[in-house]
Amino acid sequence: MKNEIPVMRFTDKGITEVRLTIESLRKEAHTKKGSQGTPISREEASALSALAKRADLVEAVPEFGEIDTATRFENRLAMGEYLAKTISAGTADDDKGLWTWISMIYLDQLLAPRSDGTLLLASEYRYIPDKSRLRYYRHLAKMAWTIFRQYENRARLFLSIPCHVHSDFVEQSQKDDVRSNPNIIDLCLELFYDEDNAILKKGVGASVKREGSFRRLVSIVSPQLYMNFDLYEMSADRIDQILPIEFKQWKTA
Amino acid sequence: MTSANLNFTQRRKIKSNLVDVTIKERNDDFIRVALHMDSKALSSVEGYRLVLDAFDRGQHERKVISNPADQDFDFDLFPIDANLRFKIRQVSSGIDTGRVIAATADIRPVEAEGQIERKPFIVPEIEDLGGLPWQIVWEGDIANPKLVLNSRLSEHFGSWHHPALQALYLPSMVRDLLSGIIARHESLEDLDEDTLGSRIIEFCRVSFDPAMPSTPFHGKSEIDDEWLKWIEECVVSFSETKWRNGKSLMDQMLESGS
Repeated sequence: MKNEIPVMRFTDKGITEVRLTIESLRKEAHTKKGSQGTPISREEASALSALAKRADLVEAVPEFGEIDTATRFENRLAMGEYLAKTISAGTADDDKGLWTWISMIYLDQLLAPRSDGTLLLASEYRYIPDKSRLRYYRHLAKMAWTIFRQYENRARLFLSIPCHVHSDFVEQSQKDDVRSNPNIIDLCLELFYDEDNAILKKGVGASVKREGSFRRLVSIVSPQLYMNFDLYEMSADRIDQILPIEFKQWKTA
Repeated sequence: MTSANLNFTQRRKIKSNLVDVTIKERNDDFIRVALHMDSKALSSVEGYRLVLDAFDRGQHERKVISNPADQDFDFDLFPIDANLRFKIRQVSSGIDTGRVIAATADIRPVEAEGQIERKPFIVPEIEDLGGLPWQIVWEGDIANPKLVLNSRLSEHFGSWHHPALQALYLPSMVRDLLSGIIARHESLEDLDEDTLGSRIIEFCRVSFDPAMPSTPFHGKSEIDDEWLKWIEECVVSFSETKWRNGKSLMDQMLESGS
């Protein structure tokens, strides 16, 4: 059943309230740096999410229509596709209040479920956009929207993961030389993506030391190739021809 | 393997002091960029195209350069506040089409108002260090060492970012910072993203020409030679890079004294 409501954004006061609530939940649990997140109860998650409904913390965004808060997304790709249709203007890119509000209305899908019934609340920048060059791409909902808008269906390379997951693959993919080049994206889909099962092939995310891994392509091989070839003007097939032999393994995988 | 080994097609480097990229105007529709290149920057070969690539946060927009001496470009893909970096490539269009003949390192543009977009992150604390000009303190979080400049120097020059003062301490400080970070960590993966250590290495990676070695930081007991070579090349690039007002640190130092 749908539950369509007008798109809203948090005011500055609202963003502060969300931030303080997240900080409070994480502080209470003494979350260690680098951990996957803070276990919180479903009641705590609901209370955090409910901030999006407080009239004193939000305001309307008339340029957008309605959004269905009851939608359940199969993965981040589906979330990105839906948000790209609903939030159609590029001006939304800079709207911190909007993306914080969207994160709160879909919060239960952005928290990793644990076997004991609790949910993992991750760092603040997963839910409140942070413009830092090192963190901007870690916002779960907004990056699904951004990547889908940039690559549409080809975004499946990055977004065929649960909504609450920010995989290492997404992290590594943010290097300008990779995400900005559609030919590299096509090549990666060809090499690393299992179209039958709509997931990345097993072993793609291995460490940089493993021959043929995506990390090696991103961190070591593509910088070498960029130094010597104009990869922006080369098709995926052409780039494939100059790849080291270690990447041939994926052809049969 | 060093960056020289990786350059297996003998690509030439276009020196940054022969290129000037200035952002003339920013508005909601486009960012207007003025390019001026010295003709000496280009290899005198037949059959090539010259391109200006702009990047910001996973987005790329390319313009073909027809008049390198003086040409304006309107980039319409980026938001008004984009933190752009540029690269110029001279690409073969002959029988070896697609080969990069020559290229610049990343170029950070100068704003028409004379301000560089990048905010400095190598900001020393000012303390009395006695006879020591500057120091890096590695106590506590070794990924976030404390950079200290002698207060007598900042008082003498009037500011820690006086051009003459920066030309004297920054290259050495960058060398020590890179060496110290690499000596104290096993690998890049040990560095949290928001630390000074991570930022300086990422800054060098995206800003300068030398390709990062693919080897671990350490040999059996000391820093791997390839990393030492990379550090040295980064320090040279750092010193040659045009910062404020399109001038290198040395240029600014000499101008400030004349």
